[in-house]
Amino acid sequence: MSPDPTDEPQSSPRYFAVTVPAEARYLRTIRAFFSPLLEELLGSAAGHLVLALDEACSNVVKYRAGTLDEKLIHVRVTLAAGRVVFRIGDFCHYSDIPRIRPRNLDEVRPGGLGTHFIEQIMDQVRFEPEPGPHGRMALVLEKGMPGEGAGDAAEAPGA
Amino acid sequence: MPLKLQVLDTSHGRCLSVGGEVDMDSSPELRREMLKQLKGHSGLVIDLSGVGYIDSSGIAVLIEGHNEAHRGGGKLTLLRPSEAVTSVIDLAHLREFFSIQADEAS
Repeated sequence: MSPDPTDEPQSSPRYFAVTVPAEARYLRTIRAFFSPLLEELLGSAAGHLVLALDEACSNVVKYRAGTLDEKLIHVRVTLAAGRVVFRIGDFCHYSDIPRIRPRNLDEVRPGGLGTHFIEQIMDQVRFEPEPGPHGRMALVLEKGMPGEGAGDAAEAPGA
Repeated sequence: MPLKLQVLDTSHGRCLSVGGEVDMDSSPELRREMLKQLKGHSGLVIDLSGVGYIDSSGIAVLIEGHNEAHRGGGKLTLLRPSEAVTSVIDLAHLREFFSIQADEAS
């Protein structure tokens, strides 16, 4: 874990990064690292952001851990211009993207809720190519911070 | 906080008290204990007042418990769900699906 600088003025972007093994028992570590930081900024609204981040990381453990070269989850958080941006590295292969969608909530059954939570909580959900020729994609989640003029930048989820 | 499970026999029947965090790591343990307690009982109360965090895997366990209890002609009751739990139940639009009891007496 490596918290990046925090002593710049509030208007400067702040970056935080956590890398943990892609195992379920380390999801708690990610939550424990980011919860206090987000609570400081967002108060009680932080709980849902932590949930969205946790669901995204759970998907890496569930679906990607067996295929990852390093068997690690890389999470980077940027706080800038009234927005919180989560970037989960090597989230999936580009060919997996059409299969990643929330399930119909009318079908009440176990499973498939995590993607729905992510899309409901975040303003933007998108994939970005990772450097290199392997077709790997990062998942990027964005949310405006209330009271900082970020609400106008909110866009419909578009995973 | 690690998951904490405790089984109690109350005047309302068998109660599984859950505390700590329910996530992808700990939800299999909750599922095992819940299904064990549902076996041979007409219903089960799950006290969720001590849950500080729950994710979609935890909600999935509760859905499974609800369905399992109904299959056996019984009922799964969620007792005093914490704010962390109710906010996620609301995100999943499941407030009407579950039988939720705000306090022990009702």
